[in-house]
Amino acid sequence: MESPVNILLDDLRASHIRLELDTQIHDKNAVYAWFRDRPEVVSVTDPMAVWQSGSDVIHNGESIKKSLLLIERSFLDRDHDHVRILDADPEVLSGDRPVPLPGEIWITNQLALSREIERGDTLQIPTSAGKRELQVSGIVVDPFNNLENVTPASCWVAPGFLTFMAPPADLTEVYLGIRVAEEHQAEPLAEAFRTWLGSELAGSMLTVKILRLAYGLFTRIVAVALLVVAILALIIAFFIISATVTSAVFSDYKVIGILKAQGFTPSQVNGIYLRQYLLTALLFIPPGILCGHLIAGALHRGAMEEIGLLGSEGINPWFLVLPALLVGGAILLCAWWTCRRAGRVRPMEAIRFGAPSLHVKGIFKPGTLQWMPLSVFLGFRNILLNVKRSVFAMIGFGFTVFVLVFSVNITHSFSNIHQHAGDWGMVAADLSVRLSSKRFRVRPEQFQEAMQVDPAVSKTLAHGSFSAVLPPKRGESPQELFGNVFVGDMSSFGMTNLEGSHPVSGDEIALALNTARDGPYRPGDTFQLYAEGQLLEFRVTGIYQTGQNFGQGFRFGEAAAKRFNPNWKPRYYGLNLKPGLDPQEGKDRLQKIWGEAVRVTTSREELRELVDILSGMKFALSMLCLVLLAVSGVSIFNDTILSIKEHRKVFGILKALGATSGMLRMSIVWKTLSTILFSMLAALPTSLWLIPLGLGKLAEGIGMVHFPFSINVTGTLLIIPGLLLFGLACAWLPAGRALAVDPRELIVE
Amino acid sequence: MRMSALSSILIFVAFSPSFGGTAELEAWFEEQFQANAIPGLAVVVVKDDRVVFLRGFGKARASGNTPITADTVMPLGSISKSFTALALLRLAETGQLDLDRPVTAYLPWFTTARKAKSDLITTRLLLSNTSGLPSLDLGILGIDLDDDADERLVRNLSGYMLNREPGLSFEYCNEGFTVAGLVGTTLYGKPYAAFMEETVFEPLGMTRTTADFRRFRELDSPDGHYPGIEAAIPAEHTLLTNAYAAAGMIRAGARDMGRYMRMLLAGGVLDGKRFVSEESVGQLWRHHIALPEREHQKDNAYCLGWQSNLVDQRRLITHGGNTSTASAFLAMEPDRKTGVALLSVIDSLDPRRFASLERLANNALHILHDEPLSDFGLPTQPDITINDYTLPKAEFAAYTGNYLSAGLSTHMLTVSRSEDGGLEAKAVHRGALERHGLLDFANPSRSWLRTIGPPRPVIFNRTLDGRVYALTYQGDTLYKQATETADKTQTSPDARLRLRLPPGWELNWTDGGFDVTHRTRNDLILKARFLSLGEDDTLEKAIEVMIRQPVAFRGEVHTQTIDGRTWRQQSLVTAGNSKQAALWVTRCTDDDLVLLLSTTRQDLTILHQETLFPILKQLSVSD
Repeated sequence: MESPVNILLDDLRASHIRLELDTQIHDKNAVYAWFRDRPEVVSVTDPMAVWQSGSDVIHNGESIKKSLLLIERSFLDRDHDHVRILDADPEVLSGDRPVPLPGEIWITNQLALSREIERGDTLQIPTSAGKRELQVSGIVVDPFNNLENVTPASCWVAPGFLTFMAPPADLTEVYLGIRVAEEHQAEPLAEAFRTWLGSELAGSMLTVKILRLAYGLFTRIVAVALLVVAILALIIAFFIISATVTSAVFSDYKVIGILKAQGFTPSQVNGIYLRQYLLTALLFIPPGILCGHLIAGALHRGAMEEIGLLGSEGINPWFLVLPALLVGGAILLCAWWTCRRAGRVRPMEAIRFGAPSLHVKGIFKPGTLQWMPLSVFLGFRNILLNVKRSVFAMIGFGFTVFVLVFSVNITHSFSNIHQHAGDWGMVAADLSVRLSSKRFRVRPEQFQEAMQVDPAVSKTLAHGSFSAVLPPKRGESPQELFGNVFVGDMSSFGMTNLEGSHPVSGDEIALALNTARDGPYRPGDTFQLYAEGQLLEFRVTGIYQTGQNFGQGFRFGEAAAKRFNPNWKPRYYGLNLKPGLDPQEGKDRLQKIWGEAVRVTTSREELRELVDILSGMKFALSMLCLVLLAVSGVSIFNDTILSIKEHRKVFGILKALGATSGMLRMSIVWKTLSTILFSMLAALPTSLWLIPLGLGKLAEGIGMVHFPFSINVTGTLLIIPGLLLFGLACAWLPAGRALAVDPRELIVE
Repeated sequence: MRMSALSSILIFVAFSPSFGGTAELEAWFEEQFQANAIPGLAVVVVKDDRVVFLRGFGKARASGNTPITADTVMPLGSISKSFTALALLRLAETGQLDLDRPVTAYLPWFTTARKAKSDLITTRLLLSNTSGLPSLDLGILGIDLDDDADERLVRNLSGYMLNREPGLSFEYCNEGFTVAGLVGTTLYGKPYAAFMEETVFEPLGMTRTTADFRRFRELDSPDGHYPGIEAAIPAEHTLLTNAYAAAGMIRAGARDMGRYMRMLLAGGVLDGKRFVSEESVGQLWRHHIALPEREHQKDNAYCLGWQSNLVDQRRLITHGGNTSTASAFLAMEPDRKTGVALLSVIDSLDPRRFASLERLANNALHILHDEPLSDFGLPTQPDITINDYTLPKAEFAAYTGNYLSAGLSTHMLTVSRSEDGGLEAKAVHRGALERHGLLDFANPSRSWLRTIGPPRPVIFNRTLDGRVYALTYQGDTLYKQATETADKTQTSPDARLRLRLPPGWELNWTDGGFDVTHRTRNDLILKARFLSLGEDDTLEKAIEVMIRQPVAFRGEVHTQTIDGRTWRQQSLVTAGNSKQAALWVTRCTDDDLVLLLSTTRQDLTILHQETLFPILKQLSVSD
């Protein structure tokens, strides 16, 4: 799952530093020369004219809600920043024409998939001189722009075309891409550039570090999920082999005894079963590898298409050979271990008595459960007759339950993210209001007073943003830090701390997790912050988690902000409405009352970006669930067949005594259902406990240790009947073989 | 001496408190004007269908001698909106226009990016600022005198989404009034200036009122002033765009404003003749959408081009106007048939130091009714700019310098040491001083630019080690200029053109223009020529003359204002050799200056950045 990022950075030779700068402030040729002459720089793109649109780019009458960076594509071959063309005109695909035509635009695969834009569609791009229509003529993969949360999205137009579509006075920026010899050189180089520049950069600079951080979370989650499935499948394979060999040995007990009596050594006897079942197993390893390759490839492709990359480049052959060898070896070992039972059979006892009877040990004596219906009793009995196999089966189902619970609830968590905004470091409010600075304004105090008496509003939290700089330490460069200022009770809006408490007084501050870790800082430590030309000290009171800015940031109260700027005022308000009131109606009402003085969004609109992350995971999760259900289905089927085989004699006797075929069939089914039920009783609560812990571990990189996991109670509970029905279906068909049991055949020794 | 009975009666009447005290108004306004920093002010007060006070104070230009009179034609700013609304109501009375029909009934091509929503917009919603159109002020600071500027602006709205549902809430939107004005001019069949002249100004006898930019000079209309440290700075430039004529470009004399108010207060009748129905006047002033309450203002609402407020327990119909170099305010009290209009030749001043036009107008009405004066218009909140911080003198050097805006904007802020030992800043735009004030620091980063206008924040981006590389002013980031360019200014032999060339380029003066070549590139050409292209289709004619080849592909036509000069621009590809070219045409007094930039390397945009933009920013053309 990491390989696509490496593909982007290596095969497509992505820039390690992407620079946009205004040519009327900076001398682009001097900047180009500076980078080119640096020893660590491998190549620099020629300056390319760029222009950024607003976010109201229209496709099929709807805003795509993403701004575009239009780049004039060059005819010249570049050393790096190769754009891979997925879909375009034939002459483009053949390489005859490497650029779009005037009036055309190439967009990234990520943008195309996420907004359902196809080649041939038209985009309406607003400029200050009116809208411009461009036809999408190419879908491409660009190294840096394959994530929803990278904005703006790069697009490509014909060379020299920008003056044809946008007012030339708006076209003063260029893009430069810089590639270094070693990735780790990018950050120091960016810093050296800022120092050389000697002025504020009129533009922006993005490094590869941000790219990797942005990819990290998603790939880690999917990779771990795949690994879990792999382990589960292996365990189930062991289980199946063990159960099958054991069952076969028991069936052939007498025959084994005869063979041994005739002089077969234990190893020879072992060898019979080893060859029989190992051969079967080994025959199916290649198809298994093929299926696994196809499934993994499909998962990989599906997951990567979501982030705009054409899936697998072709999995490294070692990734097929090594698992095959490992799995083969593991199965061989498992089979050999299990086949040793055959070698241990004592000939005389085997010939005389046959296989030892399975009997239930412990408290579950036959007489104790006489009140149960026969089928149910037989089902429980069958479980207890082979506890080890039953436990294996339960473990297998347990994993299935785990993944189902994960899928259902992660979907629910992201869909209801607005209810747990506090855990993401945001204000958990029904409505978010920003005071605007247009002609008709409202003072923050006036708005606050009005909200306190507004009949629809139950709670208000004023807040605002604050930019600062973290002083450098140990030879590092100063780091820009974005924080939030709160006026009021943060706790009532869902904001919590991992450690410590909220800052209250003017010398208190709470730090985001990664800011605290980078220090390191603990509650009680002194923390310095530079802003408004002043370096001030604070005492750390708490550490909190946030999904913003990769877990970097800070919080403090109004008194602290006023130490920097005595006139600081909040510009944002989180509002919670009284119960039963619809947020959209609340939004409309506030807009009607306050007009242009406010901009209002609902929490769902605010958190749309986070919710969109889920769309990238849905396909992968669906595939995982299907795979696990398939594996479980096979396991149930196999176990059912084995059970019938093992209990033929008992079935024969019961049938002779009047038990119907249906009862016997149901006993098999009850065994399966009981196994699933016991499994769920253990796995469900365990999953609900483990999953948040695991997600917390995975999301640590972006500063989230407690993943806001929201349980979909209905969905989770529906897993129970769902899985039971599934088990019923998988067991019912093979259980029909029990109908075919003829008592006369079985009773005869 | 015995006075005649008539004289006695007249004297009694003149000085009787029940007549509101014209002399009192005179004295009071004189006193207020002297205490203020407004260079020139025209005032008209009406009561019971007559003008009771009409006078000009001060000068049209602080550096000149021309007095402001009752007939000086002054910018009205957004008071123009009320005129647009009135004109449209007149059209509605003739049956040509239904204010509640969608705009698309009159402008079928009108659309925004969300057509289904913008199809719901009506003229009434436009006039009440509830159409949902976004307030963009596209190109409002530019210069565009073409008659089709308003239509171009409206067509440009096709690329923008609505901010709100039509009819739901209030957003003050100049573009909305442009659309409304275009409805009127489309129905009337004439450009806006003529539409207003024939529909409103002429019928009302407002002979010193116009929306025609070409008449401003002819009528000696002053451009106004910017606030300086302790005095007004005469403005070299002013807002001049036909695109927003219906929203804010009308200019009028105080006498004419008196006629306007008399007509409205009399329910649509002036000098015995009905101009518009009483019902229409009622529509103009009917609350359309409520506005939030403010200090001393209750029951606020926006009507059709007017605001309605409850001030000092009486209902006032008001509107203000500001063109950044001039400001105006009009207030009427319909219940008592009184009104006052104040037209000034300067941007808004600091309301804590000088009485604002709103305060003057409100108190003028109180004086008229012999009522106590009120504090309406005086800020009630504490002055947040007051502080006791002093920036150490030793740090001044880090702040001084020129700070430039990115792109092609010619905004610049120059920070230098002031005469009193502090720091001062001059805001310059297009080479002209726009603001000059003292910097009062509240902390090492944040300062207030103190002038006679309201203090404006100037926030310096100061690094940890005390260096200053940029600042934020008026919402823009300005970057400290590292070094001055060493390019020479070159002047054409006939002295019509002066420009600076970037390094690496060579200039050859030709007959009627110049050619620019690059030392290492042979393929590209930058040519400039003075041509007589006529009034219409100047770009097409320029293509014929300068390109002389068939054109295979054309880009959009853009109107750009750079350094105060308006250019029309179009990029194109010639047939055959696929050369990319860009034509820039600007109108001079008697001819047109045409620039042609062309290249065979498909790098037209980069060439604009490298060659043309530096020239355009420094180009001086003698018309």
